[in-house]
Amino acid sequence: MSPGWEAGGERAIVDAARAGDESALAELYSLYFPRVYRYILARMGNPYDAEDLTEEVFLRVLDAIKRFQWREAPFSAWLFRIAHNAVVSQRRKEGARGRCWPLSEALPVDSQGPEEMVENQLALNEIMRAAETLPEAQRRVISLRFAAGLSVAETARAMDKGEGNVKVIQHKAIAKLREMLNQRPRVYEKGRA
Amino acid sequence: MRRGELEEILEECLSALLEGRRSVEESLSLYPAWRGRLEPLLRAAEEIAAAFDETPPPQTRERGLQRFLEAARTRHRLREIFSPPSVGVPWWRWAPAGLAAVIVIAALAFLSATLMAEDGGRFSDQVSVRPYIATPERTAPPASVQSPLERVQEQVAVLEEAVRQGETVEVGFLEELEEASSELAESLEDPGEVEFLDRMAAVSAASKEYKLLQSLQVQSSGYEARVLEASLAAAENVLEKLGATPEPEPTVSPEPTASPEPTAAPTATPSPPPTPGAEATATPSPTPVPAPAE
Repeated sequence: MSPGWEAGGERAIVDAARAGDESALAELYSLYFPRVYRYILARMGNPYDAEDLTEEVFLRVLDAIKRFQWREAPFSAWLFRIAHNAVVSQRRKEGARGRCWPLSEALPVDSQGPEEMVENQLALNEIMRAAETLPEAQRRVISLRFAAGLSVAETARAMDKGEGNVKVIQHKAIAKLREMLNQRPRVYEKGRA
Repeated sequence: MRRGELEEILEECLSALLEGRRSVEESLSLYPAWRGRLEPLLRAAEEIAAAFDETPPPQTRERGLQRFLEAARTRHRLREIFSPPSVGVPWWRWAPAGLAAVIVIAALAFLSATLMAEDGGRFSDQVSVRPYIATPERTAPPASVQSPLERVQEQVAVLEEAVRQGETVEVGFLEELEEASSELAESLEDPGEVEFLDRMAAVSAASKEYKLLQSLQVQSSGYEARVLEASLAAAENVLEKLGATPEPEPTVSPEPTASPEPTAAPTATPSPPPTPGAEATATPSPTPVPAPAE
């Protein structure tokens, strides 16, 4: 989501980072790393790919940040366009190798217990399989809204679409995912009644 | 129901759910009229959000941060190395200066090319490099590398052979011989500086030349006679500078009843010399008697 710091503080941090301030760069990295990681994980379905691609995205940001201009888009929208391009690039490479979305063997999250990790993995795999069948725009909206935590306005800017359009796409995507998830045999229950 | 109303309400409830401001139940209670359509969507959204709620491994995050900062430092260093201080100057500040520099360089290049072309034309004889034209049929070294004496010796040998064979001697050849003899005479301005052997060779060549030319002079007329005369004078000049006196052509006794017989004018006839005309006792002119050089 768009936390309070983004409204006023983000601009100062981004401007300092553009000037080469190392602490500002580190702060930007810390703020956006989890969101970029989740977005790429949602698109790629593999934590290892997500780790590598997230690092690559930040290196691309480093190369391009001097060209970033506030009047074009919010920083988050600009950053997730780069992330999207990295995903598309990676997909193209994998497409050339004939690779499909791999499902991860494990999610190395220290804070989770083994059962929770397995449950999360299964849930992610289920959602990923369902999302695989969605049109690209719907998959992208779902990833940006649910994984990257962008608002509708930021999602719209990142996708170069209108907010109304994003809301419609979002509605259709959730309805479709719900339908598909309901049709599949449930392999786990999350425990949230 | 207004068009797009469901999407608006869904988005409002979804934002509240994702930001942790409201639960699904709280949102449904806010929109009781939409409960039937909202609830399945919000439940599905809750499940999707939970599935994507993954925290990246801390070691991955830390490692990535270190690499990111190292890359930033490397880029900064490279920028410092490869970017001059003026890198921050916008292009419109340095563009006029750059354009002026290009124009000046182009003008200088054009002027240099023009001057070089003019110089090449003016002093072409001195400075131009003439292209080498291969003349495979030519066996003798080019005239420019021969000394005047060598040229005279060579041409006298050719002349002697032509006279002996009774071949026609071209006027052009005689002109070349005259030119070579003149050069030889010029090179003998100070005979004391000339090697003894060269002097002897020059006397020998010039004497032979003189005799051969004298033999040709008898039959020549017109332009050919004038060229022969000039060649004789040149040979005579050489002999004069060397202190030698050319030997006159021995006179041939005329036959008393001989009438002049026409001979081919431009051809050189080999010895014995042809019968002179009416002036049987005439000696070939000129027969200078140069004063001794020393």
